[in-house]
Amino acid sequence: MSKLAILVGTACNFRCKHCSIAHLPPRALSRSEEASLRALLSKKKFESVLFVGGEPTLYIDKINRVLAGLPKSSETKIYITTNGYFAKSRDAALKTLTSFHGLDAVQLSFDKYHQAFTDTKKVEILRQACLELGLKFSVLMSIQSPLDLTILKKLKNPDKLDICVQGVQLLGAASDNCLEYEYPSFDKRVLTRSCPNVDAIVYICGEGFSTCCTQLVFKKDNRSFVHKTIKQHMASKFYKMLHTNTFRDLLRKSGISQSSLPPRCSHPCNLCSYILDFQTRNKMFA
Amino acid sequence: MKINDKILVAFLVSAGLFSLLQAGQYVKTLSAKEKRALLSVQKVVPQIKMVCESPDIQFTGNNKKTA
Repeated sequence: MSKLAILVGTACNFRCKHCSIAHLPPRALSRSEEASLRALLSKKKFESVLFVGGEPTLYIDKINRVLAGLPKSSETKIYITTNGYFAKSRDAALKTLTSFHGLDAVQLSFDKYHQAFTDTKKVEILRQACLELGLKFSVLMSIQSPLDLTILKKLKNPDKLDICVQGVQLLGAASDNCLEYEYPSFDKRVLTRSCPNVDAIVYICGEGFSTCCTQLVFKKDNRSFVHKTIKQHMASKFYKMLHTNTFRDLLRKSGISQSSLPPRCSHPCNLCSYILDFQTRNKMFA
Repeated sequence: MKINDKILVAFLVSAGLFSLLQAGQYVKTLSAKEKRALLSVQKVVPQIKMVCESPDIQFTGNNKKTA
């Protein structure tokens, strides 16, 4: 695994309708977790480390204490995913971004859900600030339908933005509000795929490490999917299952018929969750 | 299928939002007004990419420098 993502804390100053972690209790990296992650970064070389929340800029001190573990000659890229609330002015944006030790890139969450709490002007302010600091900048949009992309027309210089899109997944606040990316039919190309996150490991504050970054890791009983150390996770049935099977393999081993799959299983995370739920119900996975 | 519908299908598929079949099915459900709205996005931002991973967790930006 070459990529590490750290959910540093759940606090956020936005209350987006689609937030995937809105259901989690308030928590953040403890001092002991910070020390463990600092030690991990000093020993293991990652291609990138991404800090997410909640809102990671509310945890800059914690993040910098973790990053203190990186060797001075480290080539590890440091990324954050932020709601960009702090970009009230050029100076304010520069002040926050330069508070991080060795930041390389900023991913701004901006879509119709975030727009309820922010100003489109902040997108341009943040883009300019990143440009000034030599940081990569991209916009991440969560959508329920392609029509949600029309919000891009409200932005200044949308043609200059690196835009990535993700479908809203049915968990957290999105589940409460019945929001999910809608597929017109099932796309069987997903069957030849395996977990898209197999090259990465996620650390969830207060929980532990997992390959899964969405649906399974946030289940109430996630003991089979999250582990206190990377070593324990790599020894788990879950890790081995994800790393050695395509979804077609998993369906076959579970005895699930492809014809029974709903359109939403076109998304690998929905399909994975569907299979694991089936296996758990039928006591095939423990 | 009209030319604008084909442009929309190509946009949706190239962005990774849908498969070819799904894109065709989706475009058929859109009203003329909705098609115009989506076409106007395609003109302003022709390059968008869908990420299957959870980008909240995984950084998805490329190396494109903005100017």
